Amino acid sequence: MIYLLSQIVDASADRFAEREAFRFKTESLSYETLAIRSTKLARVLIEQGVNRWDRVGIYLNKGLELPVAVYGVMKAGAAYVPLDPSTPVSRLKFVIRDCGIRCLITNQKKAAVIEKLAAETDLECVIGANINSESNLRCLSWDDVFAANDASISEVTTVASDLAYVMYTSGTTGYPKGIMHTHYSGLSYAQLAAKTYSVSHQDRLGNHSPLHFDMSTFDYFSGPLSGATTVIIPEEYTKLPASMSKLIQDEELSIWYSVPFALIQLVQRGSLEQRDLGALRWIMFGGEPFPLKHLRSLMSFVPDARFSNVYGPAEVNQCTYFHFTEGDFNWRKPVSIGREWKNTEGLIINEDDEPITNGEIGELVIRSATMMKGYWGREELTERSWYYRSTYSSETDKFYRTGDLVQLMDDGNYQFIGRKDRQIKVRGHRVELDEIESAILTHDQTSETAVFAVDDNDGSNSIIAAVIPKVDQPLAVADLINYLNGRLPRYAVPAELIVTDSFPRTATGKIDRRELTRRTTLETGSRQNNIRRSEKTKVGNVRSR
Amino acid sequence: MLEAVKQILKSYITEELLYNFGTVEFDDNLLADDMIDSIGMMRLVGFVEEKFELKIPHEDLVIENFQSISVIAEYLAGRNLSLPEHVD
Repeated sequence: MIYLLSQIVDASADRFAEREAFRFKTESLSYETLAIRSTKLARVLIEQGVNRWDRVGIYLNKGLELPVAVYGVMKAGAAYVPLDPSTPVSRLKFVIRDCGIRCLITNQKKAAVIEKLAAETDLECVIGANINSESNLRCLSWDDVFAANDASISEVTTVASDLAYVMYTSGTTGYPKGIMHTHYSGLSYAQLAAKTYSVSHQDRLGNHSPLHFDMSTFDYFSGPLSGATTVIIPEEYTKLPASMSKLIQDEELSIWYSVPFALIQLVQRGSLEQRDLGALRWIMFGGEPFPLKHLRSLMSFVPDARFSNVYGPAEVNQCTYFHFTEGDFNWRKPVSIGREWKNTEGLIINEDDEPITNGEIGELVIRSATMMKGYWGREELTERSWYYRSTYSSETDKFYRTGDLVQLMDDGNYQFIGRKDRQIKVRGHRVELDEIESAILTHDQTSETAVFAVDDNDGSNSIIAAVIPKVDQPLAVADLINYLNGRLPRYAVPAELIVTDSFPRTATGKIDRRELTRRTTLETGSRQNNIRRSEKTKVGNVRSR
Repeated sequence: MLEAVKQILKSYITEELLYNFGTVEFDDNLLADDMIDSIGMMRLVGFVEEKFELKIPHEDLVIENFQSISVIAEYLAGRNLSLPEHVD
């Protein structure tokens, strides 16, 4: 019986020893090799003092070290914390300190960054890279890890409710927050997803999402649970659509799960008419609404595949889905997010926290086996994210407040309407506009700022920041952009900066963001040229298509 | 001429995509994990099309043609590129 995420690979190795578990470029790991290597890594981690309840960072670009790291950490009884390999050092430092990472798994390419990190964090042990450091950092190479003949570890007492992984996402305070998932919530997701999309050992999954993006759990857990092969898509392929479509064809991928952006790129520039994508049997997308014109076009290229819209904040993994079936949906309406999947209950509540059933718009709250444990070290924030319903005696049901406004439609499906707060999505990435404002205001020359999102005309959002500089302090846009590049993930850095001397205000003196957004949208017209990080006056020099 | 094309690409990438934040050499891998993201790549394609007054067919949007500044310049040379007059 499997009750831990870490048991997935060994169980599949018993059934499908020789089958490819993960592929990357021309190399692959069989289930047997992955089971052995991850156990060897777990053994080394335990020898290095990693305990149950510890958090181990994984700081790696895409490659075959990733599945070994994910399963090795969990086999050691610890929780893995995926670190975004392209995020600024200051942000890495924050995450490492925030959840007390003492051991990091990486490779030699990351040595220079880790050297910087080691000096300012409590890192004690690095696996996969040799670091020149004045502190007493213990370093082991991957060769050291795999050299041992003994691939066994003594029993680690992990139970399903123990922490399995922590994923960081944008926080409103200016710092990211860590979403904690247990073996129970992670495995519940893996099993539900494998069942819902009938994943089998004959499937080949395309892993588009980086490890720090929660969609990766489908590729890393649901695939292996079913004995399928997960093909890790190298980053360079995600940047050139015709290469990506060729990879989908050549690798005969049968299941695809990503944000709409990746699929829109394929439709627009992927040369799909020249590809045979006949192996694709199920295409899932989530993270933000898929614009219908692109979806329709995609469907025409892969007529035999099934399509599903997947919905669920990282806090609950997935929680609803909408399977498209021929002819049953209206091309004029936005794509539905469908209904709850198994082992999940949803409620729509109004502003007074009362459940509503009359078809009005309200916030969706969810309770599910796939729900997070809470936010790392943020008890108050965690508590605020719950909605309680009294049941019997003094017992209550605990729901997660998604912050998403939905409406129950006549056909019985939920329709996504918008957000309750100022969280937006940028090409599938979750961004809190307040976090960007906080970051801008820490810059010496800024006095006030308003950050808002506008439609990028490609199914996602583009971030715009309006900034009032301090009096008598000339603000160089390039400086500010550089500064933000050093603090925010790339997708959260505003595409456009407007330096101004005043904002429209409401009667109470607050910045009128709605008016500001309206004015900006009007000024730039159709906003075809808005993807650039520069002063407003320069917009239009670059054609971005 | 190849040299001139490379310089144009280098300036654009440095000033507009890396925002003078990083440096790029002719043979650096532009598609490496931490260099240019997918939006940046599409902007680069748009820039090339506009600057050199040509259309890059979708089937040419592949790693083999966009790996580095040198590789892009060679790809463009293969397209019988003639530099517009205003480019020196």
